[in-house]
Amino acid sequence: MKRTLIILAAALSLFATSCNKWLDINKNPNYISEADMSLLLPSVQLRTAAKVGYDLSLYGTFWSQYVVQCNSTNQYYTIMTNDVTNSTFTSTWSYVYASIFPGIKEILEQCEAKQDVSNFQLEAKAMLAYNLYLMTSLYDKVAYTEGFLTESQTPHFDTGESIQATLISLLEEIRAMSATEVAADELLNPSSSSDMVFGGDTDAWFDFANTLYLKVLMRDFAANSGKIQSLLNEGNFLTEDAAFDNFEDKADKSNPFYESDRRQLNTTANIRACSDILAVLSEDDPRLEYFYDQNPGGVFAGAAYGQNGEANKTSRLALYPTEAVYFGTVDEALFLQAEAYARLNNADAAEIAYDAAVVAAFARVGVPAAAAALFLVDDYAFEAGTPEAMVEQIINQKWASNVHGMPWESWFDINRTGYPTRGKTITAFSGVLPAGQYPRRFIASKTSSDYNPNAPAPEEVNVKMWWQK
Amino acid sequence: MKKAKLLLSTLFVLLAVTLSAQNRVVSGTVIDQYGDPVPGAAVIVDGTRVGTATDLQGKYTLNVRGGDALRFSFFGMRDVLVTIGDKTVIDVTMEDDTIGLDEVVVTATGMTRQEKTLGYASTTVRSDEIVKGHAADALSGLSGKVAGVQISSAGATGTSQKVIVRGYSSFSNNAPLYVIDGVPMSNGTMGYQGLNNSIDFGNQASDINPEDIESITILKGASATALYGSRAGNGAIIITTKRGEQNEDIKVTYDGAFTVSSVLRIPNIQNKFGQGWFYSYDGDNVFENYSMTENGSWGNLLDGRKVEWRPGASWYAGADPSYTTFDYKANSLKNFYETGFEANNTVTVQGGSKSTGFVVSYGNIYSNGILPGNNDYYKRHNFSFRGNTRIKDGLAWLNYSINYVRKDVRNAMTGQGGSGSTIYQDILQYPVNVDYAELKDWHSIYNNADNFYTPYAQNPWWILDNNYSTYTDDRVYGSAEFGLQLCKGLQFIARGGMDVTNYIEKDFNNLWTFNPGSYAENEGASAENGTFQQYAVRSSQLDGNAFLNADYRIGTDWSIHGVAGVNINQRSSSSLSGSLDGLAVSGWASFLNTSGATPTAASSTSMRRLFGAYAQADFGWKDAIYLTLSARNDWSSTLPINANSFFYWGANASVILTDLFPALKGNVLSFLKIRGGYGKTGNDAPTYYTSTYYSLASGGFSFGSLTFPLNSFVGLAKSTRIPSTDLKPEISTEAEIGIDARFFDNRINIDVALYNKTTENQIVSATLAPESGYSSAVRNVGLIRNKGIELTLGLVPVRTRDFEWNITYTFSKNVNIVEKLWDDVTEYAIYGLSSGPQLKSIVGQSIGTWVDYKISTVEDKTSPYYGYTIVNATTGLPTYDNTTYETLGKADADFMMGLNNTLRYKNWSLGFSFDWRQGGLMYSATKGIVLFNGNAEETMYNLRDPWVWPHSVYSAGGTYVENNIPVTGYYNVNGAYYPNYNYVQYRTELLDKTYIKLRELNLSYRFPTKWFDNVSWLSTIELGIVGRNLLMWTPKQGLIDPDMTNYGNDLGSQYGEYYSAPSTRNIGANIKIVF
Repeated sequence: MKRTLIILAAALSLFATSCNKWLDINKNPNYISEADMSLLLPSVQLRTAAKVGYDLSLYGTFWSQYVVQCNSTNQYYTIMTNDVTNSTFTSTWSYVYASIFPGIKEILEQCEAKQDVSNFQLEAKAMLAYNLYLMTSLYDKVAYTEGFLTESQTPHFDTGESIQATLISLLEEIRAMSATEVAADELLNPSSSSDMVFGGDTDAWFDFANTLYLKVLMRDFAANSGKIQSLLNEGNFLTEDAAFDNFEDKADKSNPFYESDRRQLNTTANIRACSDILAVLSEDDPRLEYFYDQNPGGVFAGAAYGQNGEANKTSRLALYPTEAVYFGTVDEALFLQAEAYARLNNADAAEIAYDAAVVAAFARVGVPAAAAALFLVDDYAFEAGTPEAMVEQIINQKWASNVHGMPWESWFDINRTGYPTRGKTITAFSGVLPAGQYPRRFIASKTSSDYNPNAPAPEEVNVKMWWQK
Repeated sequence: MKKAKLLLSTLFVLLAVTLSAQNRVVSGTVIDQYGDPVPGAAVIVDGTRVGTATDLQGKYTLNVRGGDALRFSFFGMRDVLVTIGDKTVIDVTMEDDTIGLDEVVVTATGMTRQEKTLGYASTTVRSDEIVKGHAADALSGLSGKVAGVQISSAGATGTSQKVIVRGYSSFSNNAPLYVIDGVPMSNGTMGYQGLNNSIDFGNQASDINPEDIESITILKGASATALYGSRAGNGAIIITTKRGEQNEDIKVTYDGAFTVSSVLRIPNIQNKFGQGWFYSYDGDNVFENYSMTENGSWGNLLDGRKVEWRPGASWYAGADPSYTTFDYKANSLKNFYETGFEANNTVTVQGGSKSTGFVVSYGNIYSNGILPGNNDYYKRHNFSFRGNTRIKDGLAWLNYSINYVRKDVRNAMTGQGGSGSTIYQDILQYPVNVDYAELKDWHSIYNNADNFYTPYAQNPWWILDNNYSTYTDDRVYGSAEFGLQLCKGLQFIARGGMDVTNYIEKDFNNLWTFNPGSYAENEGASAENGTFQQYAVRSSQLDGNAFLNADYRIGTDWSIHGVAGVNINQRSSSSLSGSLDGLAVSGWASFLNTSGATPTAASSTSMRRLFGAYAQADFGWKDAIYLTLSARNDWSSTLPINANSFFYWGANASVILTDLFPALKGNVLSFLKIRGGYGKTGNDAPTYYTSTYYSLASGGFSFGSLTFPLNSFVGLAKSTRIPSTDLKPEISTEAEIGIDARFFDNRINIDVALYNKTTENQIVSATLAPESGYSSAVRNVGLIRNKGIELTLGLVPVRTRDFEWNITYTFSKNVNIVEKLWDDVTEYAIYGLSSGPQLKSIVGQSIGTWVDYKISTVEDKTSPYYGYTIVNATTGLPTYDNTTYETLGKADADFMMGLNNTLRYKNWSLGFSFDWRQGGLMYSATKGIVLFNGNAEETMYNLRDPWVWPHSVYSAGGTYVENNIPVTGYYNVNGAYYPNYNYVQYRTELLDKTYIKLRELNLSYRFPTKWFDNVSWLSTIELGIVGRNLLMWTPKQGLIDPDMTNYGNDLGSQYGEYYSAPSTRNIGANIKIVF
């Protein structure tokens, strides 16, 4: 009896084992279960480029008042009229949090466990700092302490001011890295086929970090003037554009703004030129031809901001399928230096930086330095003055250079410096907001208020952030 | 089934009849209402024990002495009493006893049971009822006929069919399990159901030819389906096919139907205002709002004047100007559709030799839908062979079947156009003064891509001919069963089944380009680069069952029936697909036709396995009390490997009070049964929910995306879903009680069921706030309760020899409550667009509850403006609170009713059925678009003169000021109806789903059999006319059929429609000939 039981039990367990083996087939055969940092970095950069190149470009282009909505279509009318809600900005938020940050985090974790990959660490940290900078610039309060550093499903948010401190220490960590060690690691474990921005040029990444550091410090100039001064003295800023320049003129492969508005949308007429640009740029500025398509009459023509541009009377914003998406530009780095020198009341240094910035801005859109030089002795000539007057001039010119480039930075600048001044330099138009109120931020995402009880109550679009004027 | 009873009845007759010397001979033939002979019917001189039984041809001869009448009776049919008088020939037609007591139903093991013994609610529908409507599928004819079961169809022939038993209980899977002759049938939903370019190629359960079906039994409760374990959590549809009998003469039946179809509902639209967009009221007759480019009706009042339109051809291409009258073109939309038709033929050959019975059938359907031309068709061929062989006089037997189904379908995509315009989106976007008939010739210089009147849309006639999806499949399914009589009362049965489908789907959106300098280009029209996708998919299901079946009677009082067995099941699929964005040559659907882009390829495979062991025991006492106990354990591959075992069980009992206490039985009460059951069933997990993975990364934005490989870089990204390592199956626990009472010799028949079902451990991909680093997490959540009542009332107000009227009324009401989600979470999103109403599951409310942001009102009770809407001080339009949701209603119906009538007069039969569904809300993009483009009737409000939002205030300096800003003060009048500008309009796009439909109307005539007495090769001809969906009454809206959806046939379809295909009205004629 006992023996029978044993045999029975053995047979049963054998059966159970083979049965479990037969059932053990639940690994997804269609995908791969591990990914190396060298395959994660391109994803982080591509997704950042998709968000920056579309969401930020679109809102930046409108809210910097470079363009208006066309009268015969209405795709972006609510953007121009500031008629936005908390569901308007969900995509940016979820891409950065659910796709970009986790990728960065995984690269950094892999770096911790591996030797000789400080180059990847540098690149990932720089992408982290850049995305965090964008997020706090857009949404103010963001979840970092709990949202990035720990695995909470309902993280509390950090204030904009504390993220500022986080950014500063993050960038200082990067600056503290040994450039020689990073360069050596780049030889051992090259990131050249992973880095879609600088192709593994680690020095350029340090320059990118320094430029971003300067930009972050300028948010609170008074508090950081010492750091700014020494950073200016170091002078290691971008000398080549931090450009995501990988596009092809093919569906799903082209510049995101172009892809969505020109290739995929059912009309290409939406975005018309705003005449405000002529408040700063000369009508003869050759860059206008690059910035805007000609109107049917063959000249640049725009509508005042808030007006619907007539399809057959106004120029359309030019978009190019292979135009790069910029995370940083040489002209921006120079304009930042010019502004910093102006605030330090060093008019000479400001002027040198300003002139170089304008030349770089011309160069970036394919106009030779000689053409820029003509304007620098004429319409765009730098005028020394009070620091504030110099800043206004610098920011106005920076604004005008950014129609193609980093239009969202122009919107940040308007909010930070007040330039170009609405009602004075450019049109004052509040849309659905109370008179004199303008968009200051992205409204916190609906997906946060719906699913995270610890998310703060969303602020309206016209509520100022701590660094804004 | 009927013939299966032959043996039983014959035995009964032989026992009952004593032969004695008789002095007169009466003979005749007994046929059923379809003209088939009824073999084995008892023919007895009423009040005596004198009788005989009919032979295989239904003929009898009886020596009669004494007695006044002959009683004809047969199992499952109503007795017929005929006065003998001096007749020598008595031919009789017997009718199925549709509400008979001895109804035989098929249970979970595939065994048959008398319905009266069951402790749970089940409904069996027989072949005549199934094929009455002559629809291409078996279940649509049951709409409104089965209490507790919601059956609706997304649209035309071949689109998916929603069958929901006792309410929604799962977030992921609410479809019942389909079983054919004891073997599960695959029920994949084909095509793509969703927002963009969706295409519905139906669900596979609709593939079976209705003419092949003998009966369908719907098992509703958990105690009935527990034996199916983790696959029958949502009820089971048990299909039994027609069967050939041994020694049966060969019989050939032809069924044919020809049906024409037309669009059931054209949206009601306004007829006052014409083409234009920026209507500004100026109080006089200035004609300045007319715009020739707009595809909406925000222009001037229609006044019948002559206007130029379609100007492109004359402005840019030298053609003569084109003129039209500026008036309402009443039939414009209607003119777009045409009359569709459907031809449906089946030939069935049935017969048997001494040991083998067989049925061979071939059916085909050719359906050409209501879209113009040959752009929407559905072709299906069904071959079926089924047989059974008795070995050694029934000591062993074989049942076997093999079926082949071939479908060729082409249809237009629905939903929102993504990679190419969709037809239903574009045809609604037109000014009411435009007549579609005039745009039909899309080659014409006035209507081609260069000169189409509006740059914002494509010519719908062109879309129809150029953008399409096709679907072709080959499906083989069948089963083989071997049975062995081990000893008296004990059988061993092994049954295997397979179901394999190979299909190819192609989606094509043609190039839409225009010449430089053309009207279209100058007006900013957007070219389409053309896309092509192709999917080749193979899916299969293998199923094996081996069980012992015991049937014993102990003494005279006890009966025991037991089943114990094991089941294995494997389902797998693999697909290979390609996608090309950017075509070189118009009209060429091939990956070779690239303008430069490299086609992208994708492949995918999945496999799941299940092992189950089960047992069931039925006990009967005195044929009056029955108890059934069942248990099953499943091991599933989709659950974590170390916790993949799950146990289900069920118990039910019934007491036939009229048999237990015969005194109860009388002239009034003929039958009374009470029943009760309790059981558990489940739903196991989808595949690959237990581990994480990496895939090629891409970045998305409003329109289009950015994908790898890019500039020779490639990148991977981790899935944003957190897998679950402790996943459990969904478990439903259900208690039900019921009562079955019949009165006045079955003239009145009432069946009531009450059930209470709780479903827990729902498997969901729970949405997470993105700052968690993920978009969702797989987990078991929730507790959902469905409780309800099902009532079936049968009435036979008239029953005479020649005339009979049967009424069946069904009523069902289901209340659905989400009792718990997870942690502190009180909401789970089912579906919603980024703005507007969201379909959510909310604790304390229904699984499909509509919510939207709260519209801001004055909440201070002391304010004179208490309750007023707070508007934006600039626009004068209502504001809302984007942190607070308010409930707008639920998607589920309040109740459903069906009313079915069958009237028979001699050889005539008339049937009609109504289906009433009350309440429930759905989203309608059709409503959204007609509001947006000024075609909605609502937009005629105040004849578009400026008006101030009623009962509203705005906030100024901390106090409320009565609103005096006209809605046109900031936005044009259209802004008040456009939800992007006026958020409150989103909720007006929710429509009340209430409808009453005349689902089916049929009239048939059977030629008297005596006409064919001398024609040996012909026995029956039956003619009929039939109408389906003839009338629809929707009291709350005049835009759509509330059954329309492009979101498939599960919970997501409760969202509603996003430019879905309209449903159709069908009228046809049919013929049945038996040779």
